[in-house]
Amino acid sequence: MAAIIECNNITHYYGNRLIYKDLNFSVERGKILGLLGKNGTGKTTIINILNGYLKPYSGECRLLGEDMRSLSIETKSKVGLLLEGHVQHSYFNIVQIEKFYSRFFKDWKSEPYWDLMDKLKVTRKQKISTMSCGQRSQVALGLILAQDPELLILDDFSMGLDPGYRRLFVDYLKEYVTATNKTVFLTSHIIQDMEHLIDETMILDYGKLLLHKPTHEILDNFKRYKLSDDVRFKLDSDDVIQNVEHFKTHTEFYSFDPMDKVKQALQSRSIDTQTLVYESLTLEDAFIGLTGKY
Amino acid sequence: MTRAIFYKEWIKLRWLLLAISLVFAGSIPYFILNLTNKFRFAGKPHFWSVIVGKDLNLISELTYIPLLAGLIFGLSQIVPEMQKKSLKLTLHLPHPEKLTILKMLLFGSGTLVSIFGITGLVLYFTLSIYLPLQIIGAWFTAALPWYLAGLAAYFLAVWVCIEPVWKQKAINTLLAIALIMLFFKGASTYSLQYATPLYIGIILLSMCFPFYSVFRFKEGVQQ
Repeated sequence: MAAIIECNNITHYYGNRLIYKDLNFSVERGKILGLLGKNGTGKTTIINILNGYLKPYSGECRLLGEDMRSLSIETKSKVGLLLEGHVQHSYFNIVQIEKFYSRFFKDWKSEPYWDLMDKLKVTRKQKISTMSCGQRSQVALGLILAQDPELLILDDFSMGLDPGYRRLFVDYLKEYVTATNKTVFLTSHIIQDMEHLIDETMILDYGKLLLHKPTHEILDNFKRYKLSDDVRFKLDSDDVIQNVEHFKTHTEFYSFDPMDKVKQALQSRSIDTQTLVYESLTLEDAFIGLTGKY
Repeated sequence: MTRAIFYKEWIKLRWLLLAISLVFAGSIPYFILNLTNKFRFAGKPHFWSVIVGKDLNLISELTYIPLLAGLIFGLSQIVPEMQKKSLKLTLHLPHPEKLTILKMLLFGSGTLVSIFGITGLVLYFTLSIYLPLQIIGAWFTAALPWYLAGLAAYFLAVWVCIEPVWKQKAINTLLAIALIMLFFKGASTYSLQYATPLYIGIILLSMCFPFYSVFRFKEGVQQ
């Protein structure tokens, strides 16, 4: 399947601080990819690189087959961009901003925009600058949907949204993308609601890409294991066992491997596995399990 | 596309545009009343001798008004674009980036030139009812650099405002102040008329500067 986004060997620094080294990933048509990471791991940096607003130290990205540094007008019209904080031209009201954008896109579809606007309790003359963050998010989303782009790039779409607006955003987006076979690349540091939205998950840690897998594979295979801690022991992370945390009464760790393999790994260290149990995780739990709490 | 870009700038700046227009339009009756008052109290012959002998320019109160207008207009146009970097949205439009910026600059500079031009012409012809054209011509020759300074201030304000790095912004500001000061170096009525080509050169140069700032903004230059 054709890659809508393809990034090869992206390395970037801010000053002397390494953000990533040789980051590689691609997003296929029709997929919703969620880029997750803690604050400061470089999620917005990737968005900026993808849109040509930041020249990486090395490497290249291609959007719809074109180099990010020189996107043609046609390609730009196929990419819907949501900036962090749902930034829009705040001096417009909702009628004016629709009128403005509609002149740039030949396939402009007003219906999804007005459909969303009708859900907002704002007057048509209310300026965007006087709207709440949730209301602005709907304006920004409505404009992107009206643009009818092939690729939607959404930077931290959940930022500042209360649960209601977050759910509204996710539901609307999911319904739209499923119906139209669009590709979505989104970032977020709030992971609730995401497991029902994203097909693929990429998790960034400081300086590296920690993981890039289908979301269902993470939810199906990544487990939290608990071991009652009657006998004190020291357990370190390795390929099988990840993010070990010792509590007063038990030890917790995470693993992509099945129970049998985890037991083998523990037994090879002479640890009693009789009390070993596991539990399935939400995507948020999995994220914590992979990146740690700190 | 051009209409859409002009529409955006119009919505953003229309109230400021009205305010600036009112200030410049209001200056016309102010100067006329000032002139007629002086005629009334000093007498025409005496006042004329003062104008000629002491090189008095009755519209000199206008000196820094175009500069302020250009500065405020430039900042008001670009500050909203730089807030939360919404300039990215403007540059992401399916329209050539340089052309988008050029059209924004044309809207700003065209509007300022229109306000300066129309109010200047009305003032010129109204004053010509009371004074010989030679005197008014000399006053407006002296006033031309003030208007040009306003135009240069507009472009330089845009340049400084878009620059993404604070240190470079400070350097640009100092350079902009130095360039603007050149417009106010001459004090007498006639000394500056020969410097006009230099001023035009500065304006053309400062019109190019914002494109370099946009380039740096696009590159994501941080230091």
